[in-house]
Amino acid sequence: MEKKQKKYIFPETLAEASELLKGENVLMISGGTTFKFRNLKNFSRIVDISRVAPDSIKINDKEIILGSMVRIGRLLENKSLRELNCGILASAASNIASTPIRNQITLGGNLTMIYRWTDLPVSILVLAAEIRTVNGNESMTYTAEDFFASNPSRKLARGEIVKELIIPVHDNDYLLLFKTFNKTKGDFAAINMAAGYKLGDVFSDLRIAISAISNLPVRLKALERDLEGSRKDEKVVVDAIAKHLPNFKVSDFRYNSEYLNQVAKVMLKRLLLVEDREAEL
Amino acid sequence: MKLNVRINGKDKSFRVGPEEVLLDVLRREGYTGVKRGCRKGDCGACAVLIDNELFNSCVLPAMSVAGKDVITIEGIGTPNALHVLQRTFLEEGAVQCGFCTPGMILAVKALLDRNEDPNETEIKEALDGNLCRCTGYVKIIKAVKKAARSMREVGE
Repeated sequence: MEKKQKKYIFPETLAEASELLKGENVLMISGGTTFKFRNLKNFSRIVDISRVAPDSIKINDKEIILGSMVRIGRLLENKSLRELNCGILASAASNIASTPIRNQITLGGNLTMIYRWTDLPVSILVLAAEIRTVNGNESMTYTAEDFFASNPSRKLARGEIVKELIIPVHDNDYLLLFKTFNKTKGDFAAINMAAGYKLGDVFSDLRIAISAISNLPVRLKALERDLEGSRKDEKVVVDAIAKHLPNFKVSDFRYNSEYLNQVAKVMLKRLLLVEDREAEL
Repeated sequence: MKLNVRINGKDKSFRVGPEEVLLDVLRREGYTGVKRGCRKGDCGACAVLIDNELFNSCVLPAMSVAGKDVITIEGIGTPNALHVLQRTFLEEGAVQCGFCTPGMILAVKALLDRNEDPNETEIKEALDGNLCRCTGYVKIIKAVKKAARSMREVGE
């Protein structure tokens, strides 16, 4: 029997890419960071969408629209992204891998492959962003919460491709913060956390998200509800965290879960009381 | 499959397998200054410039660079006419075993091409994907600062 020739294909449009991806044994790549680590014997066609997926960064007064082919390195270099929304996206992006790898990883790939330690999703959750996909001529829009509610690489339909990320531009009085915990700057995150809330004495429009310690990035909604309208007081925050922060079971060769859960509590307290801490400093 | 690509300013055409990474193709075609290190995208010994940006060729699908400009260390200076970066690395003792040096030089070139006067933090960030297990980075950073000064002076 003749062995089927493996092909590497550059589609000419996203619609063509969608059609190709509906075939059997097809691997889609954008930046191609994981290409080397896939079992390529399982694939007869490699569809490279890097020439057809959008790589633009569009910014207006209300929103930031990032094409799925925007490389992570560009999130760091873009001056507006370093300033808008407290620069949270650039802050999270700076934790991802190293310069050459950040030049290769794409936004779409990073959101879809969703490794547990991925740094961007918690920021995207607290930014209340939306993810737009295309599948042929159809377009779908997911809230970040829906998108990350299950593994996106399994959730997306055959032929469905992430096209862009739409991020609201928040007012200057809306504080957005990202924190990570890992052994060294280049190490995979053990805990990622982000929060958003209005400046002032009480918590308002509070959003909190956590990942790496959890299997998927999640909003901490029970904690948000409990703290909404409460004074930004240490005892109030510590009590609410003790009551609502789930006991995560994730551990790895670096840290056991008990340690990570304790660190998460401290990180979260600091994230929510950052105004007090900055006043102290 | 046929890969058409521009390497160090010259148009090239190679037969490659769709599953090959750029590192293996470059070394097979004689660009042995591109070093095979970790092969996992960690060490930067295989770094090359693609359209003036730094990439680890060990994790890059070879076909993905079709039609692009690739610069390897062979495209930076010659043994008889070293690039100022290469000369400065030698002068400052920033080279010991030399295995990481091609990737280092290309990482620094990418930095200085877009920022002619980087501060120490920016230099460290630009080199965060290049591991050196001999020199300890102090002399490398010193060499980068000196090279940046030289390049500004001569407008290179």
